[in-house]
Amino acid sequence: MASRRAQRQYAFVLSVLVHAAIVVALTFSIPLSRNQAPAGPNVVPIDTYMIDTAALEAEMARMEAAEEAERVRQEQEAEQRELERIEREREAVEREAAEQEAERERVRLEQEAEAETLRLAEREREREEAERRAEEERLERERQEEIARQEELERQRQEEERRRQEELARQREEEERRRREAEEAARLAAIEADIQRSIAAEREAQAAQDSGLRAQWALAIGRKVEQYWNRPPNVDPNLECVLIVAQLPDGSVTQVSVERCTTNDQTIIRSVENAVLNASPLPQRPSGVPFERQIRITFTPAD
Amino acid sequence: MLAREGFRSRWIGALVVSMIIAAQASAQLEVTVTSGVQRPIPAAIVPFGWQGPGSEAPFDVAALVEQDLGNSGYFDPMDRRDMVSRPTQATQLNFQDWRIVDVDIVVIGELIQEGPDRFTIVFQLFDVTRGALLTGFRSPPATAVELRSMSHRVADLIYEEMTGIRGVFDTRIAYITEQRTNPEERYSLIIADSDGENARAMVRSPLPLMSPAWSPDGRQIAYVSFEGQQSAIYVQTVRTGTRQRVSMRAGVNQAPVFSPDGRQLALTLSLTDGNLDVYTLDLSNQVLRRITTSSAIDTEPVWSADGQYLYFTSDRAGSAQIYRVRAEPGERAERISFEGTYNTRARVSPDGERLAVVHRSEGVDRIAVLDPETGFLNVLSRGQLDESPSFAPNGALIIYATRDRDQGVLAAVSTDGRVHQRIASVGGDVREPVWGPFALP
Repeated sequence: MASRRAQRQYAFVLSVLVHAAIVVALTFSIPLSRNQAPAGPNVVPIDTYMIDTAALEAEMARMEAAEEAERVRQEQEAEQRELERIEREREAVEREAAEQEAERERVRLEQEAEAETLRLAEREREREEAERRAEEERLERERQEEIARQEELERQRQEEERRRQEELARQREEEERRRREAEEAARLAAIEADIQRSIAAEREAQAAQDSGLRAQWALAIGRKVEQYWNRPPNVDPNLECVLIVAQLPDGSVTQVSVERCTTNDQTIIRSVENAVLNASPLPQRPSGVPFERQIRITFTPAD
Repeated sequence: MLAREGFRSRWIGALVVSMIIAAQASAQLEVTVTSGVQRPIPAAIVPFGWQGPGSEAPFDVAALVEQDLGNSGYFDPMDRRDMVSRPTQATQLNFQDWRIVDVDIVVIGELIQEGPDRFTIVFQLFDVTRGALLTGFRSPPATAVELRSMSHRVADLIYEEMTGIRGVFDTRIAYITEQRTNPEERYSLIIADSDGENARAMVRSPLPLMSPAWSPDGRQIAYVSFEGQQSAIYVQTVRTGTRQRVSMRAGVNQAPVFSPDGRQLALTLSLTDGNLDVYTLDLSNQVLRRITTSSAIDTEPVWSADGQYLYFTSDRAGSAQIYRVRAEPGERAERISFEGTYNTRARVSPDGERLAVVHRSEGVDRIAVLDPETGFLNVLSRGQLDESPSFAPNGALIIYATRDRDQGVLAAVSTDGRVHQRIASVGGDVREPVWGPFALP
C-alpha cells in the first residue's frame, strides 16, 4: 500500500519534471537552430520578445501542473482511503463469517458427540442382549445334549441287551446245529463208508473181470476193428485218434464220434471211423460181463 | 439254515463225484487199435453214362479211371461185369447194392457231348459205408484228344480224396530209348503220359541222347546229345520242338538239371583238363560258374528244393558218394551218404527233405531214399540193376529204370515201399526216366 502511494507520488514528480524539461528545451532550442540557419543581412532580432512569452506559458503550465498534481494526489488519497475502508469492511465480514462458521462447527461437534454417545449406548445394550440370548441358547443346548446323551445311553444299553440276547440265541442255535450236523455227518460217513466198501468190492470184481472176461472183450473188439482199418498211406506214426462208439447189445454200432484226434486230415479220420462202422457188429460181451452201450476206441499205430 | 444246506450239498456233491469216478472206472470199455491193414480200397467205378449222338461213347472214362486207380496199388476196382446195377446219376444209386459186394466207394458219372468235339465229364464219388457223397466234379469242356488227360484228372481227384495225397495220373514222364534195330533213329527222347500211354518222340538221333531234365514249369526239357560227334547240352521247348544249344564246351558236357526257379542249369563239364566238375550256367546271360574244384570226379548235380545247395556225386573219398555244397563258387562240400558200396545220382523230393539215390550194396543196384540230415537210408526197389530214380511231383512215387530180360524197362515204387508197379514204354532199351511237374492248371 505504501509503495503504491510512493509510486504515484514519484510519477507525479516525474510528470512535472518532464513538462518542465520540455518547456526548457523549447525555450533554448530555437536560438540554436537560428544560429545554424544561413546568415543573411535581413535577419530581424526578435529573440527577446519570444522569450517572455515562453516563460509565461511555462509558468502557467507549471501552475497547472502543480494543481493537477495536487488534484491527482488528493484523488489518490481518497481512493486509498476508500480502498482501506473496503478492506476493513471486507475484513469485518470475513471475521463475522468465520465466527459464524466456528459456531456452526461447535454446534455440529456437540451434536455428533451426543449422537455418538447414543450410538455407543445402543451398541452396549445390543451386546448385552446378545450375550444374554447366547447364554440362554447355550443353556438350552446343554440341556438338550444332556437329554440326547441320556437317550443314547439308554439305546446302547437296549442294543447291548438285544445283542446279548441274540448271541445267546445264536449260540444255542449253533450248538443245536453242530449237534445235528455231527449226527448228519456220522450218518453220511456211515453211508459213504458203505458206498466205498461196495465200490471197492465192485472194483475188486472189476479188476478180476479186467484181467479176464472184460479185457478179452476189449481185445476182441480191437482185433476186429484192426481188420477193418484200412490205413491210408499218409498216416503219421504218432497218430492218436480217440473215438466214442455207441453200440447195441448185439454189437451193432449206432454212432461213431471223434473225441479227439492228433490230425484233422479227413482222409485219416474217415478211415478210423469207417473201420469201426465196417467192423459192426462188434464182438458181443462174454456172458457175465455187463453190457456197455458206449465204448472208447483209441487208434494209435504201434509200428 | 442256508449254511446247513450248503454243508449237506457239499457232502452229497462229494459223494456224487466219487460215484462218477467209480462209474467211469468200471463203465467205459477202453479199446486200443495199434495196427491196421494196408489193402487196396475196394472200389466200384461204374461205366459212365453217355449223353450224345449214337449209343457208344467215344471214350471210356471209367475204364481209364479204373486202370489208373488199380495201377496205383491203393485201390482194388471191382470188375464191371460183377456190378449189380450201373447207376450214372445219384438218384439211381442204391447203396445196398454196393454194401453186399463189399466195396467202400462207388464212382458214377457221365460223359456229355456239348458240341462238335466238345465234351464234359461229370462224376461223383460216394462213401458206401456211410452212404455219403465225398466229392464231385464237372470238368471244363475238352476235345476228344483231351479226354484221356481229363479222365486222368478224375482219377487224380478220387486218389487224393481217398489217400490224402495229390494224384499224379495227369502228369507226364520223359525217358530215353535205344532201338538197335533202327540205326538212323537209334536213340529217342520220348515224352509220355504217366501211365506210359500217349508216347511220342521229341528228339531222334543216330548218336546217343542222355540225361533228360524237365524245367520246373514243364514247358522245356534239357538233355545231352552227341549228334555233333561231341557232347552238347540243349534246351528244347516241348510244345513247339524248337531248341537251343546252351553248352558245347571243350571236353564233356553232361548231366544238366534246372534250378527250382528255372533260370539256371547245373551241369558237369570237363573243359580242357579232363577233370569233371560241377558248374552252374545262367540261362539268361550264359554266365558259367565253377562250383566244385576237386581233382576227383564231381558229377550228377541236382538242386536242393530251395535252390541254395547242390547235391552231387563224387568219388573224392574213394567210392562214389553223395555230397552237398552251397551253390556258390569256393564253398566246401560235405558228404551226405555213408551206407553201402556207393550211392549215386541223387534226385530231390518235391518237399526237399529226401533224396532218391542209386544205392549199391552186395553187388546190386537199387533205388533207396536217403534222409540228408540223418544219413538214414531206406531201400525201396527190388531189382538188380535199378537206375535213374525220379520223384513224382507228389513225392509219393519214384519212377526208375530197371532190367527185365536184358532190356531196360520203366518201374515205379511208392516212397512207403508199399506199391510196386511197371510202366509201359514204347519198347527198346529204356533208360533215364524223369517225372515231369504237375500239369499247368
